[in-house]
Amino acid sequence: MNDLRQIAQEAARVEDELARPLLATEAAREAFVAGVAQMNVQRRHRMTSPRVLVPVMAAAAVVGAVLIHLAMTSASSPEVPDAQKWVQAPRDESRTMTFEDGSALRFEQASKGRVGFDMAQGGRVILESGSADIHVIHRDGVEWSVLAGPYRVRVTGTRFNVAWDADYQRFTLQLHDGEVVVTGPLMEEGQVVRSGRVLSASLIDERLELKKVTSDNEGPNETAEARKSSDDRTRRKTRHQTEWAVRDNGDDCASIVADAEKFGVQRLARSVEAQQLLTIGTAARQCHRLDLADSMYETLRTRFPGTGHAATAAFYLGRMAFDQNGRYDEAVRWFETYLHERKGETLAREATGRLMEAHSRAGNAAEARRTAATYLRDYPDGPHARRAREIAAP
Amino acid sequence: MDTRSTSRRGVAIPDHNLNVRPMLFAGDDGALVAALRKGHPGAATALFDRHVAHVQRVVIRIMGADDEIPDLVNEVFYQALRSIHSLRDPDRLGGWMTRIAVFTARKCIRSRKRRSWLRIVGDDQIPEPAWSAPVESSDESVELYGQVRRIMDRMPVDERIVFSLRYMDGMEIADLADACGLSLRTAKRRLARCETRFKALAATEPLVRMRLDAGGKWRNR
Repeated sequence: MNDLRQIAQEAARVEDELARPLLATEAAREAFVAGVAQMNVQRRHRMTSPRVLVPVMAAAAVVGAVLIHLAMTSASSPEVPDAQKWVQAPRDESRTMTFEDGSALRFEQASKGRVGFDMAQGGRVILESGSADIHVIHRDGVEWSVLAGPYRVRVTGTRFNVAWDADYQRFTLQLHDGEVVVTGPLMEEGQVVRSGRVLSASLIDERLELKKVTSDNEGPNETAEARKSSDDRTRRKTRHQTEWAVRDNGDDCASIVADAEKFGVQRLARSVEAQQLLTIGTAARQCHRLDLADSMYETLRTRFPGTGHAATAAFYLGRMAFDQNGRYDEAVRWFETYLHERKGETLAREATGRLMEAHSRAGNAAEARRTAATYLRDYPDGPHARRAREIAAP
Repeated sequence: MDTRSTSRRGVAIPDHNLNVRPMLFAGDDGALVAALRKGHPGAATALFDRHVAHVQRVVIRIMGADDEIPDLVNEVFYQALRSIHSLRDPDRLGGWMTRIAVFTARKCIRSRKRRSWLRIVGDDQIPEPAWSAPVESSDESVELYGQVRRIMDRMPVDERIVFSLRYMDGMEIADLADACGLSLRTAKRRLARCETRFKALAATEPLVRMRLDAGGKWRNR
């Protein structure tokens, strides 16, 4: 080997090490697949030259969604499944899709997601938020999968309702017929759900619950963890909770706030448990009732200090300060509080990213750079990674 | 629920979950090209999965450890999908992907050079490449890498490309010629020219110069 090649290859070895964080990850692959789908949307609509697809991908996604939405609202018949179909049901109306094999899907009001179908392979539904009724006709060798947040439901023939609430990080599945297997957080090994059961999982509470909605006996595959969780929940019911309860996640934020105000906000703040304070606070935040949200979160932190719910409240207080009020110094304080109390948990990545951005907007350049470095170290592929690199650059 | 059936056929969709893969295509490269041309569901993902390692290696060799690598790699695949109908020999898909990777990286370097003419900045304002990742290599190797890259940055783009693919990546000359769209003879000529230029530019980079000067001693060890 000549000297030049020896030097070049030594440099190449260092380069391989340095470039390791840049190598394609699952996220990059996912981004590519999403980009291809948008290329297809653009090609169909002949909107623009393919050469500009990459830089305008985000805009294309929005435009594609709007076009498909317009097409949907103008049609009176049920939807025809198409490639990479984005579905968003209006606030006051559901959207129904039928498939060649007789299977059917209905996105409930204000729900959104993506649907793909192939006769030979089955269907895939990605429920981004809201709930959907799904009826899969069984065919040998064909499987459907439904993704709702971090959960995957494997289906070979059944009828069920599935819901994912991104704000509350809550997954719910109610099975009407048949049997499905759900995998995801708190049930990594797979949870079998049979007819007449409701499975719900809360990432914030780290609770899993499987309960009957009929008088059937519990199936043999219900986990001990699920049963214990259900028993715990029953024991923890209080008098106030029986008088006032946040209804299922089918309720919109306005009705939760209205119910809370009807019952008496001050009374609730003194009496209900942490989860319900969090629920009311989040509903109020979503309805732009910032005063009420602030009050609920602050009460939660006062009454239940040191708990996971209190930490979550700190995160949301930070978000409110950041998003709605532009009070970046205050946002910094809350995000730091969350990270101090719950570093490494569910919202830590988001909290670190927002802390970095809050520092940056508050003019704390050195702190922003330090947080950016932390973010890149801990979450090199996270959603704030690009911004972190910009901030961390000298 | 309304269950009226339809007869229209859809295709697979991208996955949002790490645990689930989109419906994949199975078949050799020739079949994959045919599937891409027909818009088979999963064919684009299969193309990515099969060739991403090679494509990113080529792009990294040419560009260095650069923050734009992920975007460039994706651009190579988008370009391939856009021009799949122009591929004449489907069994040579790998070589064709290499060529797109080379041309995409070259276009990026040229674009950066053009942009750099439009601004006057001090050396301390030029963004550093993404060298912040922890490495196991010795400090001297990392320094050597920095100097090699500085030399390459000063070389003409086409010479930089053949240098990186031949000397850093160890690509065979015939493959190099194919990847760069050159005849074998032109490729050899360009390699000779880039070697001469690299050695001349190394005069300003002490570690590289020392290694080149000490080359004979190393060989005798």
